[in-house]
Amino acid sequence: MKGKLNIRHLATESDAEAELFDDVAQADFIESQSLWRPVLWAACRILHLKGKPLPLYKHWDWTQKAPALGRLDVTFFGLRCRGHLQGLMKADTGSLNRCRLDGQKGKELVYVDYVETAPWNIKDYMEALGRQALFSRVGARLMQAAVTLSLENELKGRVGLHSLPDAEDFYRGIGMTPTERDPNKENLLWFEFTPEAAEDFMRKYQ
Amino acid sequence: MSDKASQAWAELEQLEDKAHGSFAGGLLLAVDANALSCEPKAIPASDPSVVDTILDSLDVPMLHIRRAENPDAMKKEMSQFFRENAEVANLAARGFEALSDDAAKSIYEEFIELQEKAKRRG
Repeated sequence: MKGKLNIRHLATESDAEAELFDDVAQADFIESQSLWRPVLWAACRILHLKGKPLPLYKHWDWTQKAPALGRLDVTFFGLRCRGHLQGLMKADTGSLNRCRLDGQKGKELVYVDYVETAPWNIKDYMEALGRQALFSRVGARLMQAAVTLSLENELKGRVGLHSLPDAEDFYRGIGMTPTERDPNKENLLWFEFTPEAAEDFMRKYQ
Repeated sequence: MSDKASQAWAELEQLEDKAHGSFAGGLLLAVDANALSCEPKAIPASDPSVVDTILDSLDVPMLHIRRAENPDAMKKEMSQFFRENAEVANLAARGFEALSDDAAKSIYEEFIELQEKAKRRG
């Protein structure tokens, strides 16, 4: 799945053309590590000094996900704009996770187990560094890619994931349904797209 | 894009910001089952000049601070600034010797400007 789409350039309040791609390579992970991490850590240190609560997992080295590259049941998506990586997502079509909502319980879905956007697209981080955030809509566009992957695999737009705490409102906002906290995943809240909600999401945010 | 669509995007963009760039925890917990509840590790240090170089290369714009329009707004912003930057207030109270050279230079330039303004006012 490849294609052009628009994200939002915040300083000019105008659309910016971005490229979605699904042939993410090791070099993209290295880019995320070498460019994203120093910026993220610098922002987090400042926020920490100011006493702002920080997620505990920000130190994590995402290059550990690289072994999954090349697996047929796993698709890594990247989103690039103006030559730089703006977001990454891992979507699993062969996951053991199944739908949990009444009415579609047990059905197969696309399981999204990793979504991250570049730190320069996060308002709080950039304000800590005396800057304006660069682009918005990266997370939303990646979730639309997950829905499209689901449709391409005849899963009717069904997508599920364990939301990190700060992202729960985002998933409610795009129309996913929260079901239950998963005791096997540190009580993260499970969210799911029904086919109808997925269709609404794609139509509403074009 | 219609006003309704723009409004929907604006609301979603706020929620996206609130997620702070990390959205799903499946992979994180697959690699480290206690990633969310374990003791926080120290945030690695970053070289500020490297960070600035990265952000400049991406054309990430500097934040322009909006100027307060009246004395009440000024007082409110100053109170807010010192509440959010307690370390600056503490430094001011006990001396600036502990400040890094770059930070001292930046604050000193502001200080000179304030002094000049005060002299002009007589």
